[in-house]
Amino acid sequence: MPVPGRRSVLWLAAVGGLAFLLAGLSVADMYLPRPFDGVVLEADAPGRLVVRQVVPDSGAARAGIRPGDRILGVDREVLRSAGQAASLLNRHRIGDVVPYLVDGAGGLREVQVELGRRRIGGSAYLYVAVLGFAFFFVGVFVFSRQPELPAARVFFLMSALFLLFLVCRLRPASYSWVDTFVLTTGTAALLLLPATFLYFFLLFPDPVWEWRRDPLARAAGWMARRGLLVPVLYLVPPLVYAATVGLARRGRIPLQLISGAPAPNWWVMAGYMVLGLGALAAAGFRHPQPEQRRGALLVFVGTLLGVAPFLAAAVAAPALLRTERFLYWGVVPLILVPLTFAYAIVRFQLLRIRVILRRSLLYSATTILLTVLYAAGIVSFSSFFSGTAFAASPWFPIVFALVIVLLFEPLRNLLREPLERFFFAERAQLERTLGELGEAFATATDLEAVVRSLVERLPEQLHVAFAALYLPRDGSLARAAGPATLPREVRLPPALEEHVRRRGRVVELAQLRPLRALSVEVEAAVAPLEAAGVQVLGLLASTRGVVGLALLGARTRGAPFEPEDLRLLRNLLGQAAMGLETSLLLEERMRRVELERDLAIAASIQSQLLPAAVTLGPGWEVAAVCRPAREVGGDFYAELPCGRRDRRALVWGDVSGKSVPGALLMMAAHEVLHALALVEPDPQRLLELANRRLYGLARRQFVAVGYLAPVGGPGRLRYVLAGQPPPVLRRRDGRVEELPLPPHRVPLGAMRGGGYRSLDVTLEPGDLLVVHSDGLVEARSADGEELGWVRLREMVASGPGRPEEMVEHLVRGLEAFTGGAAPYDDVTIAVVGRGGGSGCDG
Amino acid sequence: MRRVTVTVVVVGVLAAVAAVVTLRGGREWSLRSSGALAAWEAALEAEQKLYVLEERKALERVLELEPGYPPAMVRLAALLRGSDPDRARRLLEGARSVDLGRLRPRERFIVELWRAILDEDLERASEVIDRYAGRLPDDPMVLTARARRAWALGRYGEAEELYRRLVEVEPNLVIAYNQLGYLAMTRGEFAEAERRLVAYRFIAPDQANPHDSLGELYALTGRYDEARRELEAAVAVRPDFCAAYAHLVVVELLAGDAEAALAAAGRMERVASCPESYRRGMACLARWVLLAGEGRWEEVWSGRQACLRTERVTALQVLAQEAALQLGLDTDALRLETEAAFRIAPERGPVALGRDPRLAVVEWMRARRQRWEGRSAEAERLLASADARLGYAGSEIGVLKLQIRLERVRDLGLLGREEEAGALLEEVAAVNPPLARRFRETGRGPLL
Repeated sequence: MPVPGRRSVLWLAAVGGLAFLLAGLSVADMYLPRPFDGVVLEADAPGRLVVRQVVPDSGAARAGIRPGDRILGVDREVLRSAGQAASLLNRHRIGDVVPYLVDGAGGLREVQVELGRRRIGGSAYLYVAVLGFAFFFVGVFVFSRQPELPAARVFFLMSALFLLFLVCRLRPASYSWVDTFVLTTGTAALLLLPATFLYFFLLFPDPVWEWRRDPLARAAGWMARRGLLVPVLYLVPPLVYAATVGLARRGRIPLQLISGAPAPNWWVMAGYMVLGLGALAAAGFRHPQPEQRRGALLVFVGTLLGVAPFLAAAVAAPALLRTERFLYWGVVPLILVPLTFAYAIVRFQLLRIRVILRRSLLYSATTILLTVLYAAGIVSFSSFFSGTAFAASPWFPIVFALVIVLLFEPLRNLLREPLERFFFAERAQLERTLGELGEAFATATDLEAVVRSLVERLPEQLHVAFAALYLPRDGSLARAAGPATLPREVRLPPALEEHVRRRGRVVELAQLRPLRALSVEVEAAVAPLEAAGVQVLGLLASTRGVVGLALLGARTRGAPFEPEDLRLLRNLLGQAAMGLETSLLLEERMRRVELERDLAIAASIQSQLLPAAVTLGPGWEVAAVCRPAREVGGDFYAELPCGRRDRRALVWGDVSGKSVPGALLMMAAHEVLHALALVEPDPQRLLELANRRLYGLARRQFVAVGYLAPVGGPGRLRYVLAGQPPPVLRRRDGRVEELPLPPHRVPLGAMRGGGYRSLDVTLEPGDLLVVHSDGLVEARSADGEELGWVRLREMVASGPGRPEEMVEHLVRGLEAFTGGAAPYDDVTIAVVGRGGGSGCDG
Repeated sequence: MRRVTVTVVVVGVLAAVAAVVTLRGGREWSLRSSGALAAWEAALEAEQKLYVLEERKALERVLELEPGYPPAMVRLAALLRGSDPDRARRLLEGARSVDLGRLRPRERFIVELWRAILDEDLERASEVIDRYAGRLPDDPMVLTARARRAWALGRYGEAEELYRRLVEVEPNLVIAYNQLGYLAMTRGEFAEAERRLVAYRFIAPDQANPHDSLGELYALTGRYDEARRELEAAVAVRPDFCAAYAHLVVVELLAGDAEAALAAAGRMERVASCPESYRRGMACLARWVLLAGEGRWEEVWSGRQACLRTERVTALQVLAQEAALQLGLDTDALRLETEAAFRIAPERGPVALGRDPRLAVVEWMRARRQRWEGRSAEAERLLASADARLGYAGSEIGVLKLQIRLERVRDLGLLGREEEAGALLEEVAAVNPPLARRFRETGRGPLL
């Protein structure tokens, strides 16, 4: 469907605004405190100042001025125009007595008229004005909702012209230029109204040439395609008017006007009305869609019943019979026109409006009911209290009105449900269904169920081609459900997310055009969606952020999304977001429980991997401890075979990463070292091979390992360090030194190549060698201070002489330093002392 | 945006220029002082309403504020021509020395026209009117001048057309209503006359003339109370308004109350500003009708020297002739008739409104003599001729016509032409029902 030009929409809005302004000014002008004689002039006798009506008990009435009289002079001046009379009267004040020269049945006479307060226009005019404004607002509503529909635009124009005609043309005119101006405006509206009427019914509910094949429809289609239809329809009435007036002036023929328009124009109008009603009747009987047919038929009947009495009693009778006795009865049925339009639009969704005027309808119905109650109450109470002072009291109607005002709100609430059931059954059903769905979402715990419901039930309820749901994954939104034609992933640029949030989290893609033009990122994100047929984008967001993205395809009935639909969708997605968040939290919680269980198992396995006691062989005493930072640590120590059956090697490791991944790597490293140690006693080769193996197993993870084993000479130990800190040696005399670091000491698995070198150290009896992981020196106090090498050396220096006691001493020292807090990192400590025996290679 | 701004500016400038040109071009008078302009407009309004004194005062004010303003000078000269001829001459001389080129067309027209009128050069005045009629065909002043000229020349049809146009162009120009009212009254179209005169009275109720005109109309049509009220209103507005007193006399004569007529004539006699001949004429008429009614013809005849001292030919001649006939003075009666005929013979000029009452009076006198001599058929022929010569042009002439018609009714009856007599009486009744009723009852007309 082509998008209407912004300019044409603005023009129409300007015309409507102007019409509203004129009508408002016209009504307001009537209540200005201006000296008024009580004369209402005949609108169809411009310049002749013929009295159409005399307001009862006015100055004119008291002076004996009667309908049909002509006002020839005012205030000692013979009049040339009504404007002159207005300016003469405006020189006076209310209460002044002004001479009038009146020509009537009794001949020319002079009368004295006392000027009173301006009050013209009876209840019939008030009703007409209210009706005009009501119709206008229906037009405004339709136009604001569907500005792109030609029929809606013409309908709006028609309602504006209708307003002008009713308020301006039927206005009780006096002398002021405002009256002349307003009446002329009303006449112009009257001339153009049938053209608009005909044009509207040619387009309504669908252009007649699109579904009919008769010659008239074809001719209209032919003209419409060439852009001739509108000019021809709208130019004929003013041209006929100009020609009639011109010929009458030339031939000096008095021009008979009926409601401001000459008779030939009424023939044109009648022709237009017949054609328009014919088109409407054709739509009512022959339109291919039953819904549209019923709506058109209803509008046809309403228009016929509303317009026919109006033309007869409110236009023809005053103009031809010079009586306004039937005016009211002509005007009352006119309400059928806007009412049937409104009802047809609501009930049959004509003009593709799904929701309309619910509130105004409700208020109108309440107001009408209360007005009836008020009138009936006033009448019955007046008759009941007739003759009493109470009935005559001015307070009586005021008190009664107050009672009615107090009744208004409860009564409105009482009326709401039946009215909604009557007018909005489908809408109510939809709201109910979506409400139930929303509630189900809000309490859902099964993520899959939420996703499935959303994607399966939304298309069914909202009549859309498809729905899809995307859920967050690795920083983007991945399609969880929906057609495969949609992109697998969607990335929402921050600008788009912010825009969608600001617009209430649900937007039509068409509304994103300005943003797309401004942002390349947004364009890149939205273009594929548009290509896939997405029309609406809805963000599922919670306090934690975006928890999902819903995409909707086009409406299956070709209708656009109503704001009311989007509102319902917004509510639904809000509830779905809550459901999604709940489901995600629950899933996360489940995962955590599972993880905790896995961790417990892993810790159990890990603890079984650590040997209860470690030995290097005869003559050696070894004590070791491993304190993981979490349930499952990354540190370990173990005995390895080292080539001789009576000797063992000690390895201590520290895996990068903690928790289960760290534990898994630790176990892998543990197994690899064990397996390789069975065949490779040389520590350099051993670590070389283990490095290769672990490098292949764990990318971006590595294991710091230390290796210590006795070698040939007494008290001689060989050590290799792969990422572990240097061991600390305490001589028997109390000296403490750190062992030298080998030149290549990269942790296992960190680099492909090896090149580990071993170093030897000889322990004298009484010496203690402390090996440890970096968790010991990097342990932090409550103030965040590291333990450090200096403190470690002091702790080692002050420690007891036996390995087990030294381990305990160091553990206590560590705990004292950290204040009993959970360790920052895993800590492994092993202390080796001399007992006697030979080395591994020996 | 820029194009819109330029368009708005251009349109605004054009509108301002158009407004300035229109306002400047629309100025009718070249007076510079606003006070003088207001005084001049007041003078014009007074002229429209025939308020001579106010007009004179306003013109003096104009010349005080802008001495040498030619239109004011010539108008004031015209007003002062009778009362202060020297000043009128000086004003006229002053107006002659002015360069007309700096004046606007209407001003030039006024100056040229009144210079010609004051010079009594009617041909030049007529030429000026024609010249400006071509240039300013719908100008109220030009139309007024043309209508007045047509009236003065007895071209009443043309005058009526021009006055009608004048009412369309300037609906508040009172003289047009007055003239149109009298034209309609003359034709016997009393309803139309009343419309015009009521409109006249509506515009200028503070002027005596509309009340007087309406009083005449009501008198002719038998609405005597209204006539008295209007005429009293006229003299209330302007106690020196002679015509209203005279018309009060006529009202009473038509009403058949000669004594009241005499009293009204007595009021008129006390108005010093009224011409003496007019006062005497109306007083004589009232007294003679009273005497005639009582058959006191000797007294009528004895008063003839005083009452017939006028050059005018009026009903007084008829009453005097009747007295002579009643007293058997046939020769005197014939002499009176002949004198009247001779008196009108040398008169020239256009036929007055209401045809020619003088000829009608002469024919009436002849008719009465013929009847007296027994030649009723001849008398009826002469009366019919006199009747045809007269219209209802005001109450003074209208009363003659009504009297003549009633005499015809009597004569037709005597001739046995009852049907014609009845029809004629019905016609009189259509004009003045009380008069016809009284005639049926008493056989008397308003005078005889």
